[in-house]
Amino acid sequence: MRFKVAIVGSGPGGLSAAAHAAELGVSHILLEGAAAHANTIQRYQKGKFVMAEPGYLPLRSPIEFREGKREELLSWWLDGLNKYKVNVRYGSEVTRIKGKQGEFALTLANGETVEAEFIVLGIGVQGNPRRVEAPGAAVPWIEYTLDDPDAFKDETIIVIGAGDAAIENALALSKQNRVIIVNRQDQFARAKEGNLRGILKAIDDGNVECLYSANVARVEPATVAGKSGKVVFKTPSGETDVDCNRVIARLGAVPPRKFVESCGVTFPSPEANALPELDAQYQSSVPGLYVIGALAGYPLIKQAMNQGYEVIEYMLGRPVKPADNDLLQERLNVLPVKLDVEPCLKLLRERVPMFGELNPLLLRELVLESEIKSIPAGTTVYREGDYSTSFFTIVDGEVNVAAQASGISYPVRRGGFFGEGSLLSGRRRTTTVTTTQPSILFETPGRTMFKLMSSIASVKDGINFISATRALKERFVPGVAEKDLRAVAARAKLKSFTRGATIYKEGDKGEEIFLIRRGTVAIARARDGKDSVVRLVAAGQYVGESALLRIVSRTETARAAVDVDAIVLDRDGFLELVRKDPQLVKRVQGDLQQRAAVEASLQADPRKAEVLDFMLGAGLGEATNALLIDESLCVGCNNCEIACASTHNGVSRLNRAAGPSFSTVHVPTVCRHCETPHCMKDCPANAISRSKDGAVFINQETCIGCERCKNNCPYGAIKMSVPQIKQTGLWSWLLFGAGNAPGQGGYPKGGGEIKKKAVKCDLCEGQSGGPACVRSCPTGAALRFGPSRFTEML
Amino acid sequence: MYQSFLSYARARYFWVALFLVVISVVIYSMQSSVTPRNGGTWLGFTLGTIGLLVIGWLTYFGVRKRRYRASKTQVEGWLSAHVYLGSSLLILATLHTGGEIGWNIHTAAYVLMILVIFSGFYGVYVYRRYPMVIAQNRGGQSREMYLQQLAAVDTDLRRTVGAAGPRVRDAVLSAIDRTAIGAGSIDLLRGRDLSLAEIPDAGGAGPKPNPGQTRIIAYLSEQLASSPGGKDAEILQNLVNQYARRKALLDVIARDVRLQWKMRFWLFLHVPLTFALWGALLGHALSVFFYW
Repeated sequence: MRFKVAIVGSGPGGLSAAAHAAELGVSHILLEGAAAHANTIQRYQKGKFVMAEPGYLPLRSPIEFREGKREELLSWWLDGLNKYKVNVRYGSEVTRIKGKQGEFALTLANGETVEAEFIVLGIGVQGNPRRVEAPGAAVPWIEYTLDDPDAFKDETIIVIGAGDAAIENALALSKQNRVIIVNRQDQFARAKEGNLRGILKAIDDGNVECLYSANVARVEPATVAGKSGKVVFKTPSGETDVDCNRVIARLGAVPPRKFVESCGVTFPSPEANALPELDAQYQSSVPGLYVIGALAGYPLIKQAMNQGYEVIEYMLGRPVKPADNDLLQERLNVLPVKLDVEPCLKLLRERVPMFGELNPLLLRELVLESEIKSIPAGTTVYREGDYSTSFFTIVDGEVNVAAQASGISYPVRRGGFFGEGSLLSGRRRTTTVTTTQPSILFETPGRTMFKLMSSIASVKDGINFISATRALKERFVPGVAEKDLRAVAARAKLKSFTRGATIYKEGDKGEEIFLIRRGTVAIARARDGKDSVVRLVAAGQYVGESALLRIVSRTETARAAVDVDAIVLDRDGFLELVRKDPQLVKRVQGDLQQRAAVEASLQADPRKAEVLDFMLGAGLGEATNALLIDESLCVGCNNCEIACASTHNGVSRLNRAAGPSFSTVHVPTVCRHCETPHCMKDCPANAISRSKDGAVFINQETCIGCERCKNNCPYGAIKMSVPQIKQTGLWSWLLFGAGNAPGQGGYPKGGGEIKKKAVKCDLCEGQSGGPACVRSCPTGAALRFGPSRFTEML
Repeated sequence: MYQSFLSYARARYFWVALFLVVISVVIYSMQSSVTPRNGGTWLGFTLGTIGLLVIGWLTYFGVRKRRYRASKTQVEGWLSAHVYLGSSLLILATLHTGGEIGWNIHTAAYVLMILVIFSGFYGVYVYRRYPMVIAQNRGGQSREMYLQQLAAVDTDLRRTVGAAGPRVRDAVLSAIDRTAIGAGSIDLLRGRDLSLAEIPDAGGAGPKPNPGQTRIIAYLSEQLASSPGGKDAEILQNLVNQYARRKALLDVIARDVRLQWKMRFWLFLHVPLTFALWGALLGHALSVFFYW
């Protein structure tokens, strides 16, 4: 059999390519190793919600796709295959590809051969699942996928693996079954934060049993009636066995690289995550062999489907512009130069050094995600004290960056960037930026910048370097020009400390000074044999100034109260700064004097230090705005909760009675608007953002109710709620008992599926007078604080 | 920073109330000595009107504290003003009566007002004092947490007692099952514990009062003392220890329930009395116009 094109893999890319070929009447064959289409999606958990990111990108495929449940996706795709009468062969794993363009020969696992002029490889990066390698393991009750966890009840199920898939399966199964999760390591190192917390809690609560450092030794027949078999594990303390109904093994997969290389496709580096060498039309180093989808470095479904369409067009020699072309053009139209997308992107690369570092795909993404602003001279871009974490690149014009607090003022010109400080610290803006010429700015959201920084090392290094230079200038030597500080900044290192980590210990030898870029540091002194916190140091401040005082041993202990990034400068670097500006010594001495005063008040009263310690333990170090209740004033009337519910459609986002207390300080369960919010990290719908005033809020329109933020919040401050009904008027309730009492919710009328969405405190954004909880406290027991006021509060 | 409602805004409303009192005294003293001093004179009528307005405003507090969207003022400020202006009524209304007291609706209104004010005074006292006492009693944990610990101890106890003899077992299980947390409002104020337990050989039929779980602990201790030793003694010792822990938890919870109730019950006087006052006040005002 000979076809124009053989498409290997029936994932989103392959499906779309095959359907487009069928639509055009091109002779084709779609080869799928598994028994059904889209094997990777088939392996998703039942009901899993699949996103259609990136939202800005239009879909260009004959086959339907939008966000929806796994089942819906699979049925749309199957319908597409049927509609275009795609020639698909399931259970046909391709084991070898030989030949060249025009005469490729594909060998299947059953020995058959298929011939084709062109090949499209869309086999993804999932590869084939790793199997349990042990005697007797080839039994049907050892499975490698879990379709529907609710299909099993009252069984004993072993889940093998320590990744997210294994954990999600184990947690889902544990609702109705006895579940034993088997981890080959001694901890769950690879799991996402939310899953990690989930599984550790389940193990703690006894809902899931766990075998650490265990490997399957062999599989034997069952010794207990009603079980499928017995699995024997090798553990550090000897062998142990479990009779079970089934085993779900989630051990990851064998990467497909070897197979791809065997086809003649070359990779630029031996690194595991290197992508195959491809030209702009997805053609590999083997002419006529195209690679699309995740294997080509495009992990999103929509991208892969678009490429499936495009690759058939390219193969037929028809030029098509990438799907995002029109969108890009629209964005770029703001620029004064009227150019097509490609030349315009080229121009941007030449103008802005940072853009030059990005590969074409990432630059396109940056342009699409950014807002391009053309603004006249004398406009304020942002003000000192604003909350925003976006990042600005100057394509044309000039701005002035100034800060009242530190007295600095410096220009940033074309090709430069600003706004990196708040991007990296998550704190308020420390400077005011005003345009001094008509300017064109790219405003890029924080999440896009973080993605770029983690993908491209040179971008990360560049931003870190400039940020260090400016931080040194702002904090230590405002009068010195940025360019004169580069040598010192180059000496500085960036170090990260996880929450609780010791930065340096009392008595240690060390001369480095730590300028805190993100997070809060707790300074403690030994007192009666234990450390007691004497001071909190916030981002933008520094610790370890003994370098200046020629004190060789540290006189205090510095610990990361939350995750901390610090710019570390050695003594010589610091002396270099002093040489540039001798006044620095005086300023540091001034700071020291102020600090000593704060410390003295805390040291005089050990109770204060204990309370401060408690507050740090309760995670308040990362709070920007936390509700704290003074228990000596609180009469427990719950007016705060009722007020919260009443101003938020009947759903309180506050649980007053819950949460830890110490002395008279109570930390109720409600959002404290973290500096770098855990909830925002992983929101697939980008529904969580921070307002200019600092409130972290969830957009109810775009929230898809996936619960990730709820699972990621370490403080239990997010809950899922159905959309609420309108509140009844106070008088009609008071006089006639109509409707609900203030603050009491209820389900909206009418049937249908009600999708729960995530809700949390939004600091009563949009209401005047500040948060309702504080406004409505009759006894003054409820107040909201930022970390800088914690010590004041004591 | 934190500030009690009494010192809200440097006790601004104390001074407002004081001003009101001074004005009232001035009005009162302006009264000519020819006519008897009472609410019937023009000056008395003025005082009465001021008083009525103040009472109306004070009652409105119940509405204002539920106006959760009201944003110009803080509820704390309203409470502060409520307390001080309410107190000023004591003098204002007394001046309004001109010392004429009798068995009539006018005096009824006056007495009801005094009751409302004094119930309010009690409220101020408990609101200032009890939160601290309650916090100290709970020692940083919520009642919910204590209840969870109690449930855990109960589970342990039930397990331990399974190995004991049937008489001890029945006694302990009955004590657990018939533990009463909280009681009716009067019993709570009197601090009565209505817990019961079936104590063997205690004479008479039915369960015996077991306040503070003392009776069952005494019984278990007796059993331990008269035990011949060995396995039985070990179980009994365990039971006594676990029961002592249970008692400690129950004491905290019971005290918390009691304190919370003491802090709240006054509102069940203050509010209904206010409505009674309004009844009397309307009668008073209408009848005054009728006679006039």
